[in-house]
Amino acid sequence: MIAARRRRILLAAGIAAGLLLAAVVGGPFQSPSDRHPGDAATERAATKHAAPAASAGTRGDTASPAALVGSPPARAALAAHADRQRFEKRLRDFFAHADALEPAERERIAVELDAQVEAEELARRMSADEARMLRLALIERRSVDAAERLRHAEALADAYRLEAERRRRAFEQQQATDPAFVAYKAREAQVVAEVAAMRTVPGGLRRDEYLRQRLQAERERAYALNPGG
Amino acid sequence: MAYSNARRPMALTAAFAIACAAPATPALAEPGDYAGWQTALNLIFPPGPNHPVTDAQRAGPYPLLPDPYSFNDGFNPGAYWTWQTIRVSPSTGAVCGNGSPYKFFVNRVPHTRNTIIYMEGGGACWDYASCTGQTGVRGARNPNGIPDDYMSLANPGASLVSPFVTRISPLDTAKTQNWNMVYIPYCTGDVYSGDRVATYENPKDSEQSLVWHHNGLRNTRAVVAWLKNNLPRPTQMLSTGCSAGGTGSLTNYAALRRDIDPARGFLINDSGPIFPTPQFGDSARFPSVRLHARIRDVWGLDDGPLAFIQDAAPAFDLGDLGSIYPALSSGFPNDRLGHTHFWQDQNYSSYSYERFYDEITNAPPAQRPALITAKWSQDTAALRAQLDGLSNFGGYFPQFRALNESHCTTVVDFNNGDVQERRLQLDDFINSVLDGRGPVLDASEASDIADRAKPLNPLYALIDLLL
Repeated sequence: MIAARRRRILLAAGIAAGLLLAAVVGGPFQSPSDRHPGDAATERAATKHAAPAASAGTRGDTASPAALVGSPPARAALAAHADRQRFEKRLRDFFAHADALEPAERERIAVELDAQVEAEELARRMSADEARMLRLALIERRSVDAAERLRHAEALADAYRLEAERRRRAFEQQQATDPAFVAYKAREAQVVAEVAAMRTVPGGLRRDEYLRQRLQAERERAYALNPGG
Repeated sequence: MAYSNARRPMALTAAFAIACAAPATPALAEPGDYAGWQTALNLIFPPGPNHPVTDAQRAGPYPLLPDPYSFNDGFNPGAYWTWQTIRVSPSTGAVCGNGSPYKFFVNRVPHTRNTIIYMEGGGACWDYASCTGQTGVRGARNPNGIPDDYMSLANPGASLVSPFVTRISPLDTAKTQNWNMVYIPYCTGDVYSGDRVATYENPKDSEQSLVWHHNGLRNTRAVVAWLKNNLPRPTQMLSTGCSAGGTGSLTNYAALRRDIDPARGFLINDSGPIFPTPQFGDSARFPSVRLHARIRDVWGLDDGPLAFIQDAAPAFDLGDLGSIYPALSSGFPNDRLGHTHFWQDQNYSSYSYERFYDEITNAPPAQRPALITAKWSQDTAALRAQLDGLSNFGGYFPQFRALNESHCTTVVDFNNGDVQERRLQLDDFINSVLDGRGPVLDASEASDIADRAKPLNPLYALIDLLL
């Protein structure tokens, strides 16, 4: 009994290992028309930063493939992918077939989808512009009367406008107090005046190019001294 | 017992999950798509770059300068579907117009290497008033730089988001909605083409001046360097954008296409025309000549950027900016290229002529649109004739849409960019570029009567609320 169980575990691990090996060695699907058939073999796992799912390891790790692939982060990544696919399909289906739904059903689904779109936006899986456009289109398909739809659209527009203004203000405030940017801007004016006053430009460069290089050097210095900037 | 019960489902689930993740990927695989099992593996082990910047590419004019290895760009390779902010090191030469750090945005998917590179639109600037964003003057987007949370910040102007940069659209589907997306924001006022630090004096206060970095070309080069060093080479790549982004897609295509080197390259320039215009041509025959003269000067185009385009597309004539269309056509004969704009565009056309012709500037406001449209029509006719002679560069010119001053055919949706007399929709043109065989579709609409007779579009009416 135990031996059979072990065999099944080993078989599953073997399948996973085989697939993993194929991924590393064989690479992705290639059409015969691809101009770079070597790309698949040279594609390597990203290594610069850890991916959420890859926190179980990268392709070069020595942990068993089954452990890597079956780890909680990996399973979460697979589940998240499937969720996203389902969400997109549901949204597309609704836009394609909303007119055929009973009003109550259409209203219920539109409200549900609106909440899902908002959640995707909050998770940055959707830009604010995309979310706003979709939510506007969902309002347009709701079963409520025209005046109610207009009220919802106006409220939505106001909410996005206020949020955009809030974020803009926060950005401008952050930039105004960013030590690297403040230091650079102070030097920028000085360097521009200095270069404009030069009778000859060093290095045989055009004045514009010399100015550009000087200002780039100032930015590099400012942001090296204030890396959080 | 508890141990083996826990392990068995985990291992079986893992293998099963990999083998069965295939249905989650788009049904119709095409060049560049990963197989289902590979997609599942990519979720766990994100693929990295396979065509990094070479030593040769780090040298010469407008080199590809990657971030230093120690620089934290903010990229997480496994954060699929998410809009990620990519910070760019100052050492790459990238910078926004006001001197703040440049950044761009990536939305990655696990199931394909195909990539759309979208350049944001947003006007242009060439003096103090337009570059500082003063009201009453058509200027350029993002004069204060790019916030980290830019993609979470609904921009009133950007409410006209394109289906090219959304995963889902209420009315359209485009195959690029399943691709990796790179969103290149606009903050230099130079249609991604300039290379000059300008000093603009405040006409109302000579003690005040604005230092402005028309640095678009170097910013684009920094994006290319990053893409090469962080993502797999796309098998298919579409470069596109509307308005200034369309122009930027056009001027940057040759170098972008050469350096990214996808197997299949596509370009759609939406409403960012560079009209055929000899540098010293007669303005009565070539209405854009004054605009071209102005931007060549203030953006430093003759001091490097134009020669750089010519290096990548040798047929580009430095004496005629509009020669970029035949230069790309002949330089990339196997690529499929397209240009589209409305005959009645009142936005890009205003930028092109409004501040360059006294008869428009001094005309009563009600008369200006007709004067602008007359010049736009003249220029559009010349471009249309030029494109008609290029088999792999299509031109698609509908008349009018009751949205956004008829500016940009590909924003909000792909509807109402139709050419009724030939029963064509904008989709037909886009599909001809992306999936067609033989010459790319050319089409032009003669009359705007049918467009103006359309009933009110409820979605457009709601969008008007946002603007």
